[in-house]
Amino acid sequence: MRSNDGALKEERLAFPFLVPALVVLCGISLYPLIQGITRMFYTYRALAQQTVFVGFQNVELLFQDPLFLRAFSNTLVWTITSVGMQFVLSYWLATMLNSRFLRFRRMFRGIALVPWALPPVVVSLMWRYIFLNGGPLNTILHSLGMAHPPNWLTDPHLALWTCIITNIWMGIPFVTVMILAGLQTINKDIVDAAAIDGASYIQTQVNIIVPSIKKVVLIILTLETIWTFNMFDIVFILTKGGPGNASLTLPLYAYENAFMYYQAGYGAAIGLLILLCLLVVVVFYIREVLR
Amino acid sequence: MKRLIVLLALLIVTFWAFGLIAAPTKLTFVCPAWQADTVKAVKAIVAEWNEANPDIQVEINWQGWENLDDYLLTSFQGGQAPDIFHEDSVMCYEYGMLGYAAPLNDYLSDDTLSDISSSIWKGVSDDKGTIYGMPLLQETLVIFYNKDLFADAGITVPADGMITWSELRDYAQKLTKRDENGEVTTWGLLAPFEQRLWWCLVNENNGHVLQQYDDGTWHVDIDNNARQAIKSFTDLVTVDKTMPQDILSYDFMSLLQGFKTGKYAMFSYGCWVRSWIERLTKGKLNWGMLQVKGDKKTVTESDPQSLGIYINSPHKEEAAQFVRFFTNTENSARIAHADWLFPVRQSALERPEFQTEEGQWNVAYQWLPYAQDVKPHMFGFFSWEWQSFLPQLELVVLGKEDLDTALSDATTQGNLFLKRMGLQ
Repeated sequence: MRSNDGALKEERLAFPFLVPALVVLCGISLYPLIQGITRMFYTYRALAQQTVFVGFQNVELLFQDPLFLRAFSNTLVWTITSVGMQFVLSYWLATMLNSRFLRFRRMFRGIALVPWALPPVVVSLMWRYIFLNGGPLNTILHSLGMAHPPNWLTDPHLALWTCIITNIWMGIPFVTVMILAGLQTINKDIVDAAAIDGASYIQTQVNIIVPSIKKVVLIILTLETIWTFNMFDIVFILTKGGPGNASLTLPLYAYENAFMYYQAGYGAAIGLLILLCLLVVVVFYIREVLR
Repeated sequence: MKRLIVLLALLIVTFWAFGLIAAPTKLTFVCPAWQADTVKAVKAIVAEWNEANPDIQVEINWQGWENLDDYLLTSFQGGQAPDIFHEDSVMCYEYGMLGYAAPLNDYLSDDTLSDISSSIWKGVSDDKGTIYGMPLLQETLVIFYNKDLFADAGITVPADGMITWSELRDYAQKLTKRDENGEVTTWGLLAPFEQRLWWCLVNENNGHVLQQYDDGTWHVDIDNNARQAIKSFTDLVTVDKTMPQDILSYDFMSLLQGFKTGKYAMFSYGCWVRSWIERLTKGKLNWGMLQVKGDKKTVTESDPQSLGIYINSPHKEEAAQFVRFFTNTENSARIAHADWLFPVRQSALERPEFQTEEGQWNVAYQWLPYAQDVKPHMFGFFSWEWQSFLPQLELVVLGKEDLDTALSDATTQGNLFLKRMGLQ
């Protein structure tokens, strides 16, 4: 009891020292958020040449805007597919890198990190070059006998998937390293015991490995979902949301409205909706972690 | 001791005050010039100004055209914008409407006003006549053509280089070559969407895509003349297949290489590209320029550029002095010539260097009377075009939608957008 009292007293003493840091943190995090929310209630009227208060009109307009609905559905496809594929491929890669039978493990682990070390802009420009109509990928496909290789960036059915492929390639290293770190915490005796008991590879993965790294998986999925949902660079550089808005995503649409169409309020409304969507993910994550 | 302290204090205050008084006014000038000769010309003019005006020093802030709008808009919103900026005329007007660009009427002399055509002034002015940009440069949109490929196809172009819509179509068909597998080896024409040849055609046909009603509101209302013009453009890709889908996603250097190697027999671009063709082909390519004339009138895109002043600049008067110097007859001619463009001042245009045969200045010059800003003078034009109109035309070009459906969707979505912009 006495020790608890002591801790409480210490915390009270520490609080005033934390105030400056908390003020700075609030300033940096909360001020832009409040600004964004406030801006959502205003819009610029070109004929009147003034910014006017419109209440929730920007939010109402979102649901009448076919482009917003398209961007929203594209963002869901983009996020779910990217995160899902990143996880599956990274899990497979991490398992291989964790194998004691693999030679040059350290070298492969180093190489696997390379794409993560590249800035998204560089990655996007690199893949844009690869995917160009006359680029290396189509040249290879053509030389392999494909008379009409796909137009990766200008086919409305392919543009979004081209962006997804790029994002998967860029995200795999981080997810792999995280899973690998989780795998290395598993007591090998348990895995060996399961093997002696006759558990198959699948049974070992499902019943032992995955439950053992559940928290790591949750962290990865949460972070990747947030990052991918918010990802702007790849789509902006590869397709700019085109052709025909086929690969338009919410962050890009918010940016276009705020910085190209002089519709900062509308852009802020889209930003708030992104925040709400991601809050659902974060709440789910916190609930699972605290369970 | 007291006297010494007082004397020292007086000295410090005097030096401080003198320093303040003597400190020159510093102006920041955002400049998107990128061609080597233009950069050199801009640097020279600014250096001359700085030497002649020690009390008003100008510092150049170089920016690329591709991120200029973003840079300026965020700078304006953050209250940290440059004093002077070089932009498309239409953007000066838009920044004026948004309250970021200063009205310049008080800084312009009658001589300056009468030296530049009224249509150019209109591009930087609002309905009330407030001017938000000092015009500097203009161009003519031309069609570059490979003379050898034309000769091989047996095409003889008119002496004045002006061809009709049907001749353009006919040339493109004759020039498009395919190999034994049906693969195109030479495309007749490449007219990138963003270069707005199709907007010229709409204007030549007296067509309207955007209409301003009597109450001042703007509406997407595509008339038949405009539909006919747009169809004639998209048919080159979808029906004739003489223009590639690359008009959506081309790379400038690849385009030039393609012209050099014969992949494209004709391409549409601003007349300043002459410098790049000369540089890239080193005089080894036999090339020329064409202009498309319409049945009803002939129009080419002038795409004018201007200088604007930030409304919250603490040194607007000094900035205006610099703008007057930078855009005077002598300097506007120097910049225009270095950039392979034309000055907007009539007094500068009359100079002989803009009418020489070398670099085919005379050919591009002869079409200046047809040059006009083909973009409707609507606030938010680029936003509307980028968000709701071009994406629909892209689908047509890609063969994913027919023109009627695309234009119908463009009308619905465009009007929704204009309403959101407060233009309806």
